[in-house]
Amino acid sequence: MLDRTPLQIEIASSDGGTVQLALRGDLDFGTAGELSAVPLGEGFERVEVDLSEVGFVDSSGLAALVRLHQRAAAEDAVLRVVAVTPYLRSMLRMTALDRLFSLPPG
Amino acid sequence: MALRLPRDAASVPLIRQMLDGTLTSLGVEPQIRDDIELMLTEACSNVIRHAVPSDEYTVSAMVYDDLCVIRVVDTGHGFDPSKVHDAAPGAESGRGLQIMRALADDVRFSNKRENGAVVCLEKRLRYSPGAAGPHFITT
Repeated sequence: MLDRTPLQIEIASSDGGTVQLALRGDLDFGTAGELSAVPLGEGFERVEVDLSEVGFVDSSGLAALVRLHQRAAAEDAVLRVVAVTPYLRSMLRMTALDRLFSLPPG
Repeated sequence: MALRLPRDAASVPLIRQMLDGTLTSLGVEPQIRDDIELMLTEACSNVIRHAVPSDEYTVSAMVYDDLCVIRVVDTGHGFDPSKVHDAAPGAESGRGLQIMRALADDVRFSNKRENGAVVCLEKRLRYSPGAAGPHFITT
């Protein structure tokens, strides 16, 4: 059987104005809309995204990350990718998105 | 292998996992399989997004010696790849072709005379030690 790995998004908000998103599964053409629809609330200053459990990402998934960055910027908040797989890091470099998001050192 | 698929988003993970399963059986290195999965996904999601008004598309994948050749054929209106530019750093879309060009050893786009576009992607394969694949290579 095909093991489809749907996207799961965990959201946590801290008192300090940080929204933490932890993604698990595939962030791709079929699931990118779920990330775009995630409620961020308001009054936050930072968005931290954990991508360490993301297995597969395509250009639609990258577009959803760019939209998330735009939503943060619209609130004058900063988006940071706090954890990333080597595969995803190479993809963000390939598409020059490492210049848009700040990535953890590695 | 060749499959005719509905022009539906659910077809993309299906074909991706089928091809990955086949390449795994042959013993293709994980890094190469990841690249192939991603370029195939980009080609298929482009068809689903843009190839109006078609209902179906075809994906074929062939392994000749150490080369994997994938053809994605639709029956939409076709497109001009020279008009698609790389995305600006903050732009949302436009990374699909960029990704295909970065990962494939060769990418060719053509439009069929009747109607539709053909994307042909080639990737040089590498096999893990002890893999089954090289035993089928005749040359």
